[in-house]
Amino acid sequence: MSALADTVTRLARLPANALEYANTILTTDDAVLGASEREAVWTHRGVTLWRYNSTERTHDIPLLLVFALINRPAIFDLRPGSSLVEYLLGEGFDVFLLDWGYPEEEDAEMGLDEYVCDELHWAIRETLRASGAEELSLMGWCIGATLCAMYCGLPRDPGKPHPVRNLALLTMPVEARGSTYARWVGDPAFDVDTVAENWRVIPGSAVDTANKLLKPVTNYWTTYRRLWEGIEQGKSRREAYQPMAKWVADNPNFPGRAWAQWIKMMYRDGDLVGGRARLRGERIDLGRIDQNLLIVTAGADHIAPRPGTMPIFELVSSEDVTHVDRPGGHIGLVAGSAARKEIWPELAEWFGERSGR
Amino acid sequence: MPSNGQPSAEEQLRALYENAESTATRAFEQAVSTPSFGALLARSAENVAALSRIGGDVADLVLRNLRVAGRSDITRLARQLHRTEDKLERVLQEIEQLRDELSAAQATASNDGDSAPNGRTAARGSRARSTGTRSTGRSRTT
Repeated sequence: MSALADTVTRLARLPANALEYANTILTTDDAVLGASEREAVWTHRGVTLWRYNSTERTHDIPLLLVFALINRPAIFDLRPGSSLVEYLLGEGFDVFLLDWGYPEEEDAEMGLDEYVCDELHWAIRETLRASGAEELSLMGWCIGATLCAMYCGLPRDPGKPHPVRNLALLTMPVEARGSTYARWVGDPAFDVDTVAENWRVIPGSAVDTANKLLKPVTNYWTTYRRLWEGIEQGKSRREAYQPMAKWVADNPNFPGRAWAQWIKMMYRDGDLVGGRARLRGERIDLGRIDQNLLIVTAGADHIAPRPGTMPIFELVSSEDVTHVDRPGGHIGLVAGSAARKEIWPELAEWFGERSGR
Repeated sequence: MPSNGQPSAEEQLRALYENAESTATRAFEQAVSTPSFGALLARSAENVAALSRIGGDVADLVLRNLRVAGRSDITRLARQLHRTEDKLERVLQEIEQLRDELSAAQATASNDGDSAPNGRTAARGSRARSTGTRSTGRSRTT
């Protein structure tokens, strides 16, 4: 009888659940991302350097966050209670964020050279000017981590100390030739230069589709099935689901030149790991990385699989190296529901110990 | 409702479904990681990119003949603005650097006045100490 009653109850709730389900999906774009107040410190083209407002800055050197080119950096500051930025501000850090913006066709000629040698370099300069510090901590995530590593691997001005004291690289692809992406774009018959020239900027939707195709059933079916189950069981998941779903679907275009460089450097030739990569003629040598170094790897990372993130340890010359390895995914590791208890305190502690004068 | 420790029909159905979904997940992930799928995807991307260019060129041609600015015209203008912004950024940085150097020189001159006749030596010593502090700080943290 109770099984029958349960079935009848579920059927009676079906219309309300269906409406709630549809409403949750249809209003995802209305979700508000961001938990912390900030102000623009510097802009160039579509790039913006943000500084988060805080009255509790206790550490001497600022922290600059750098995210990938293919997603928005809002993941650092997703929503109140689930924001790494909010947490770091609470821990007394002076937090800056480099936002690459939304590249359009006029940015098609932007290459990795421009992103690393100009935009990142200038953002570091402006961070130091705004904070009044002589050094900073740099935290890159995904492609952002690779760009940060490239920056630290470029030849240095012998007359000046390097501005980066602490370098944290989260789920950073280093040797990507064994990944599924490499199987897709590694074939020399795939003419990346022509595709980049035709498309000018690789549409964000194309990048999103490619990312989702890595786990097609999970991304196109299981996510929605779990949402339905959450609603059916009466667990309101709207607040958790919508900001993340909105962030996942918000894919900026990838400038064609940078995309072609990235494909060749990372998925075909392995130039970065092989020490042959060059930006503006200067060779990137990851052996030049001698900063205090924090490497975060994720065991279930399908975007930058763990084996492809590990070679960094063999390449750098840092004496202070910390490795944090967890079983999470590429994004969930740092932005998931468990991150606040598990990995954020470790990040804050690591930076805090190294952010004094 | 389970009876005699046996799962109910609903539980059996659910387990069957979860098993099927799990199998499908693995199968699809295996399928997309094959070189043949990669070749299919790559060729599709090439075709879509080419179609995008052809469509864009045709649209621009039509608009231009109607004496209306097309996407390529707007892009060209935006690029010119970008170049101007690049130059402005570099000029601003030069000005800021010169201003910093001027401030440093004025501070040095002020120190020279305070500590003459050995001011030059004192100023050099100050810079050296400053550099030394940074080096010390870094080696301390490593």
